[in-house]
Amino acid sequence: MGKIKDAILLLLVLLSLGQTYCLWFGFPPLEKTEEIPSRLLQLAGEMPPVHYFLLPSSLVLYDSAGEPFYLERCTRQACNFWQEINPVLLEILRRESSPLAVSRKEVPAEPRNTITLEFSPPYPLEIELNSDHRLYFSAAQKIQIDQDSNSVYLFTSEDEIYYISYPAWVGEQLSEIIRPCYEENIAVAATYLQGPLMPLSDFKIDQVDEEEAQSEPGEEEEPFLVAEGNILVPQQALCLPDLIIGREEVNKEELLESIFWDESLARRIEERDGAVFFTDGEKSIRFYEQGGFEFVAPLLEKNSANISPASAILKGAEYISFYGGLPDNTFLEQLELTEEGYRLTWQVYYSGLPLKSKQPALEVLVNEGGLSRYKRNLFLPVSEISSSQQLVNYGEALHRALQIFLEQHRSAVNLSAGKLVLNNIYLGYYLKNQDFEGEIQVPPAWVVEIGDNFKVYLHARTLDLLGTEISS
Amino acid sequence: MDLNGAKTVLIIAFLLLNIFLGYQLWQQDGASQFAYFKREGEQPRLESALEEAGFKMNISLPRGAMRLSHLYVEPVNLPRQELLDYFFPHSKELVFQKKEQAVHYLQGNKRLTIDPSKAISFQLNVERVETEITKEKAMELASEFLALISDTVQLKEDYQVKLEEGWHLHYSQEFNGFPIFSSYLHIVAAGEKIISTELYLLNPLNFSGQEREIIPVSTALIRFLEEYAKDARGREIIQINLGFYSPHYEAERWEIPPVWRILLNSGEVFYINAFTGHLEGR
Repeated sequence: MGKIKDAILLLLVLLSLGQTYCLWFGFPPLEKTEEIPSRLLQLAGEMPPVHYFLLPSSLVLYDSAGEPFYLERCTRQACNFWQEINPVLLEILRRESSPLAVSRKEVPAEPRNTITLEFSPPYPLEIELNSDHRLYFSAAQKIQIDQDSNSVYLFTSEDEIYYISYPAWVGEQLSEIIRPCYEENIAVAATYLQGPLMPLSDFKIDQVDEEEAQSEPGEEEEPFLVAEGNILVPQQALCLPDLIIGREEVNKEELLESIFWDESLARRIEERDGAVFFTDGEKSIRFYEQGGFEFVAPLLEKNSANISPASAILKGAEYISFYGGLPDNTFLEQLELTEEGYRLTWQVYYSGLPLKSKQPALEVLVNEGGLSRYKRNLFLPVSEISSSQQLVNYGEALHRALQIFLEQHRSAVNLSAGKLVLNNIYLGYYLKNQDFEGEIQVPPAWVVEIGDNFKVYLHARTLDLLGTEISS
Repeated sequence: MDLNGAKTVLIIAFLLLNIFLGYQLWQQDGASQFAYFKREGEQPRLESALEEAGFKMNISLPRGAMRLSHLYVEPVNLPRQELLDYFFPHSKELVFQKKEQAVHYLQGNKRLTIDPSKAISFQLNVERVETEITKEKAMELASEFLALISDTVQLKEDYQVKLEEGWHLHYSQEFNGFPIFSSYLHIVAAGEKIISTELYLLNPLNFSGQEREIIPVSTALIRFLEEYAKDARGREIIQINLGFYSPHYEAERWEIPPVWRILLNSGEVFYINAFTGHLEGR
C-alpha cells in the first residue's frame, strides 16, 4: 500500500511540474515551430540523389583507336551508363585524400580508351563526397577517365585540374561497365532512337548558293552560321513520332498544407483571370486556371545570394521534392546566379528529347533564406503516335533557322562581319499552344540556338516555324 | 501524524494543485483564455518595449479572447457618374485619360483616379491653405459625400486626426460589429473644402469556414514595435482596434484576415494580422 502511495505521489508531483512549465512558458506559436509536423513529411516526396537529376551534358567514350562514341544526353542508355559509372567514380575520388594539381598541358590531348563526362551545370561533388574532400572538389565541370594509365583528370568549376590515379581492380570495374557499350554498340541505339551522332565541326552554312557567295572585294559579306563547341548531329535521316502530352495534375490540398502547414492561416483570393491565389501575408501561391502554379515568398528575396552552387542545387531539389515532387526524367538544365539568389531551371525529357515550351517546366529561386520563388508548369508525356515519319535533316533546318534569324534581326544586329555563331542544334518536342484541356499532340522539333540569346523552334518534318525565344 | 497519513495529505494536496493547474491550462488553450497578459510574461515585456521605443500609450487595451475566421468580400462597383457629377459639377473641359489600366478625370486643379482595383481617389491641387477649418465643418463636408454613397453602403465614423494639412476624417464599413478597415472613406478637409478623398468599398459576403484563436493585443503591439523600427519620441498610440483588413486586390472576391489596427497621433496606421502577427499593411 505504501509503495502505491509513493508512486501516486511521485506521479502527481511530476504532473504538477509539467503543468506549471506549460502555464509559465506557454505553447510556441505555430509559425515559430521549427520542427516540421510528421504528417507533412509524409506528404513530401523523397529527394532523389543528385546524380539522378544532374546528368552529364556530354558523355563520350573513346575506343583504343581514339574513335568516339557519343551517348546522347538523357537517353535511357546514357542515364543507365551514368548511374553505373557514378559510384565507381565517386569511390575513386573518395580514395584520394591529396590529389595532385596539374596543368592543362599534362592532360592527354588525344584521348584513347577514355571516357569524358562534361557537366553543365557543374556536378556538385561536395554533396556527393564526404566532407574531407570538399576542399578539393567543390564541383566538376569535366571528368576525363584515362583507362590506359588508370587515371582520372578532374576539371573543377574553379578552373583547376586534379590528377587522381586508381588501382587496377577499379579499372576492371570500369571496363565491366564500358564493355557492353561497345559490344552492343549502345551508342548507335542511344542516339535519337535510330542513328549515331557526329560532331558538327568545320561547319559553315549561309543563305546563298556557293556561286552567288563569291562576294566582290569591299562588298559586305553575306551572313553565315559557324558551329562552335562540341555540337552533335545525327549522321542518318531520322524518323520520329508525334507525342501526346498532358498537363500535370497538381494536388492543391496537399500543396497548401505543405506550404502553410495550417491552411486556416491562408486566405483565398479569386482573381479576375480565373487564377486562385492563397497567401498568409508572407508567402503566397497562385494556381493558374489552365494549370501550373507559382509560389512567391517576397521577404526571402531580400536575403543574401551568398550560398554555394552546390547548396543551391541541393536546396532547389529539396524544395521541389517537398512541394509537388520531382517527376521521373526531369533533369537540372540551368543554374544561374542572380542578385536574388540562384535560379535553377529543370527540363522534362522523353527518350532523350526535351519537351520544350515557352516557359521552363520547373523554375526555382533559392538563396540563404530558402525558397523565394517557384514556378511549376509541367507537361508530361502520355503516349506516342504509332507511325513515325521521316524528319528533315539538320542542314535544311539550319538554313531555315538562319533565314528566320535574319528576317527578325537583320536591322537590329550588326552583321558586318558576316559570321554568326551556331551554339547548338538538337531535336526535341515543342508545345506551341499551352491553352489546352486534357491532352495535346506535339510534333518533334529542331531547336536551333544562334548566338547567346536566340532560339528558334522548327517543325522537324515541315520546317514550319513553331516559335522563337530571345533571352535577355 | 504517521508517514502514511502524511502521504495521504500530500496526495490530496497535489491532486488539488493538479486540478487547479489543469483548469488554468484548459482555460488558456480552450474556448476562452482568461487573460491576454498571462502568457509568456508579455505585460512586462510590452511595457518595457514601449518605454524603450519612446511611445506613449494612455488607452486601456481590449481584453478577452476571441476566435475568428477570414471574411469573404467582393469589390463594390461605385456609382461613377454620380461621383463625377459631385466632384466635377461643370463637365466643361473635363479630360479623360487611361494610363496603365487606371482611369483619370482631370479638370483644372482637380484629378479623380479610378484604379484597376476599383479604388477611387480625388485630389484638389491647392496651395497651402491658411484658413482653419473646424472639425464640425469638416464633418459637415464629409456628410454630404456620405449621403452620395449612402445608397451603396453605410459607413460609420472611425477616427478623426488633425494634422498640418487639415482634418483627416476616416469612415469605415462594419460587418457583424467588426469594422472592415479596407472598406473605407478617407477625407482630408481644409480651408472649407475637401482637398482629397480616397474611397474603396467592399461587399462583405460571409465568414469563411474555419475559426481560430486570434493573437492577444499585447503580442500585436510587440510585433508593431518590431516593425516600427524608428525613433518614436513624441509618438502616442491613440487607438487599438480589432477589425478586418487587406490590401486592395484586382480580384473577383477574396478572404480578408482579422487584424489589430494600431493608430498613432501622427496619423500613421499599422495593421497586424491577428492570426499570424505579420504586418499586413501600414
